[in-house]
Amino acid sequence: MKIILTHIFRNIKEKKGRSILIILSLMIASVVFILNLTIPNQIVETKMEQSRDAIGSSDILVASFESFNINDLKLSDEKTNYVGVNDLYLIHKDKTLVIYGTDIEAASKVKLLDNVNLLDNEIIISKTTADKYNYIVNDIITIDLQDNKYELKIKDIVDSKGLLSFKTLSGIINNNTYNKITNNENNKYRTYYMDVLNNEKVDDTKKYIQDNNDKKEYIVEKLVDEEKIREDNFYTQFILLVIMIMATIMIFFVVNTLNKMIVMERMTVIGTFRSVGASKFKMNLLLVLENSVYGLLGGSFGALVSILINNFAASMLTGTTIKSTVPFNNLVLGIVFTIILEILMSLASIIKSNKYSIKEIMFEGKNSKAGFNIKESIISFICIIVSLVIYFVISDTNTVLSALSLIMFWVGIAYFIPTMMLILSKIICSIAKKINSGSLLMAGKNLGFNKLLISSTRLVVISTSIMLVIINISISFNSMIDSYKVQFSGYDGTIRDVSKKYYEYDLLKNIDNVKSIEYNFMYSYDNDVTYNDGKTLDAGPMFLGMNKSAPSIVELDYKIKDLKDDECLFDRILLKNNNLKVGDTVDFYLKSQDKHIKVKIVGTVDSYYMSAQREIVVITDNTFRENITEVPFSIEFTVNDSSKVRDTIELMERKLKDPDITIWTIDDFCNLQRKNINSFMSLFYIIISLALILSFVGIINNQLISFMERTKEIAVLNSICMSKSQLRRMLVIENITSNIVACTFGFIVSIMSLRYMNKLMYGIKMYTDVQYQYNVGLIIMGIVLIVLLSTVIVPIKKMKKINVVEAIKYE
Amino acid sequence: MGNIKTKNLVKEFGSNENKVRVLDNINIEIKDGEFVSLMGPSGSGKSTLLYLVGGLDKPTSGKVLINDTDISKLSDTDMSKLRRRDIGFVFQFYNLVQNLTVEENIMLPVVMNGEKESSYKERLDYILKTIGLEDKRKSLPKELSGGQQQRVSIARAVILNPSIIFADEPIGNLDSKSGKEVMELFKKINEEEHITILQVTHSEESAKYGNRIIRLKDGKIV
Repeated sequence: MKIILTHIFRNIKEKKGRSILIILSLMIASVVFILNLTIPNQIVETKMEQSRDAIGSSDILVASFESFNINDLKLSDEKTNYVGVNDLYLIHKDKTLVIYGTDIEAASKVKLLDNVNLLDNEIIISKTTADKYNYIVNDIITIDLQDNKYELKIKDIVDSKGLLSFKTLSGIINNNTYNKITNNENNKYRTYYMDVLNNEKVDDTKKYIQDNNDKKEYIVEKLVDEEKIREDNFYTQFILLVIMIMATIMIFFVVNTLNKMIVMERMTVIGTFRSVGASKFKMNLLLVLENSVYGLLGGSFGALVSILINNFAASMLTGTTIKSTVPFNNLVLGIVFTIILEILMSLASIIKSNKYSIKEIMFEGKNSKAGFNIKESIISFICIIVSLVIYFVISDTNTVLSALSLIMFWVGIAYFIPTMMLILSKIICSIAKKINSGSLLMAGKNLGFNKLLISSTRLVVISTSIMLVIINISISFNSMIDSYKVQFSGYDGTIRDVSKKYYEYDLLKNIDNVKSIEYNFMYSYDNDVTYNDGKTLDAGPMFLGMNKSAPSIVELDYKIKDLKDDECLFDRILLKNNNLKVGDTVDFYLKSQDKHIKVKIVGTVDSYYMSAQREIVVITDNTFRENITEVPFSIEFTVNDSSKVRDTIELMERKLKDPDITIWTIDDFCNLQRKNINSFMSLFYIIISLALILSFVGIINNQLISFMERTKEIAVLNSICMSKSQLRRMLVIENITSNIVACTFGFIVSIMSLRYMNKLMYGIKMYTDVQYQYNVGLIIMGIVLIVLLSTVIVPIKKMKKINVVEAIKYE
Repeated sequence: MGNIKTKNLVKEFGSNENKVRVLDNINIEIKDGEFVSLMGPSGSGKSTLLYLVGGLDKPTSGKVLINDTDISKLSDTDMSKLRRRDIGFVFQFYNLVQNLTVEENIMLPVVMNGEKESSYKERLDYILKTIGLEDKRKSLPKELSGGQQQRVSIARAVILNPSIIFADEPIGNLDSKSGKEVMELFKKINEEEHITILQVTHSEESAKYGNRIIRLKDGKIV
């Protein structure tokens, strides 16, 4: 065993460049796999932890617009601790903050605040509030009431935890003080936080409260909903999955080619082992073991890198600081995955080595000639035709068939390449005969029949097409995420976290410099809406209340301004996925509000700027306000003089006196979004770029290795008939022709592959039409081609140094 | 025991109209302990015959019996076992594993046989002494001369005490001095270890080290 391991490690060490390339590739595969296993769970755990920090041990929130007594609610028999909380907006001069009035002891019990002894007329405030308004302990906060003023003494300044984490600027007073200020009746609260003692009964308790109380009056929500957090992280998971699939495919092609080369190069050693008594099985085992060592090394390095970058990557993806360790199990799984991946990538070459007898392996040399294989041609045509049929026949939502058609397309292309090279070879040979050029004739023959050239062309076609698909998808992700720019085009500012009814904001129209304001009515339901007697839509829906066109919604066959109150427009994908059609009447039932919206579908829209899941239903703003809510999602405004937009925002803040809202200039808002997205996308780009670089290095490496493998063949040609200048011409012609053809074909294949990818993305509810960026594609292909053409310099230089006698010694 | 028999051995290459019969009904018998040389002009089929009797290639028809076992009926695993235990090969270009040291190359059949290397320590020392490369045991093949490499190759062939050694032009790539040393080593092994040797050679001089010569011409024994 020691000898075998020594042999394996020496093999890895001897081919340093190739080994490093394989190990680096496997390391990337291992990293993306481990991150895929780890990050989604870490995000959920962190968010759950953050929620727990905020809401203590409470599980359910019951709220109403009017304060109510807990006894007014019908509750289940499940044992529950609860605390009632009221809130009050404090406004004094330019200072605004939210004050919570609660039973201090009960709030401590459900961990919404630390146990403090808070007397009447005393307040504790958050550190953020103290910093903002320069408050210190024992300062007095004055509240302006209609007829008089009320003063509160600051008892303590504490961390923004529990109740104080809900709003940036906030404080807590006891019940007595709150009731005195507001004339509120004792034991009446607007919100109750409930801690269901048996954690397994949280869902049942929530359902009981919902089902047994007036849905219109009470909002009942689960406070820490793991399922919802997971759903919210759909895109993070999706991006990670895309990174993993893309990186693995790239790595697969690069490493697979390198493995083929390794096995080819080692055939004589394989023969020697078999001649001293190693059976085919034992030889296979040895090669599998060698590849396992590659896998183990790549996987272990990957595990190490994952440990180092995990928190950084998770934080980049989520925009929040995440600190946790990678579970040991995930590290082990990552290593196992990498070993299996490497074995799978090498298996074909290993099995292929079995078909030769020892005599063929040892004495007949490596056969670098490949003949036209009719079986391969037939397979290629069948695969391409079947994949095209699947592509055109299946619906957009069939993920499995979409994936199958894409794989079949790539397999078909891979098998088609020898046929394509043969055709090219015939053309070049006939030209060579006409112009009587020996170099061109040899180059032409090699293009059609040289295994290494064909394998190299295959790698260039597949790798470059995958590379271009990845780049196009990346650009598309970027522009998809940038789509908020379209949503806000034409506006100067946006008001967020709005909580009052729309008409209460009409006063903004009177502010100097404000030209216009527009209410954005939008509400998203997650499976909380059924239609036509209990059916659910495959996504959402997200209702938009509109009365005119907006840049974020592309009208297809109907103008939003013509929409009537009993009509609606569906996103075309949502319509198709739910087998609905224009003319159908849809009776939506809003479960949480116990309301019906009955509307006729009169047309379709494209809403990819708003949502990649395309769950949009456009109704009139009247219908929206009447049935869903009168509180807008946001308010967008324009100003007369855009240079004074910041002054206008200050005026708005003063006028609204609402600590909840945030007002942004469109530029600031977009910059903030961009900042969050940039960190998110950077990780994507880092990993994809690494995979691309490796693939690129792999292609070049393969080109150079191809030449090394042909040293004997070139030496023989030199010894029998061709001069070095003729050989040089032959190599240049081969290089130029094969690489131009490979890059052109790769470019064409990438266009078609992207169409397949689009279909696949539709299948996984990622309704983004990725547009092929032809200019980008051409530039990248140009660069790849130039680099590939320049690789001919090395073989030409090496050819000069070939010792013909040494090289042909064993022929 | 180390006897070799062939019965109506035929080997053809190519297919249909391009079919060429390289060996035509060969019947030979080599007895235990014999040192036989196969000779003949290029293309006479001597190497092909060696590969067939060594189980490196399969005949078109006919039988090869090694120690009375019909090797055409053996599975890959059983054939591998036979190669490990009963047969040793020596090739013209030595075929040493370049990244293994002299002693690691010699011990390769032991490893492949699933045996402990430590139990062959004495045998290894003895063989290294016999081939005169005790001081080179840690060297890599590239650090040795052609003659030394061929001696390592012979050592590898005898480490598991096989009953037969097949040698394909063992001195074809060596100078006359090294060639002589290698042939003397073969002679010594044949006499001292009583191992049957079948070698293919072009050299009348090296054939004289054996007790018998089989001559081939156009695929037939002459």
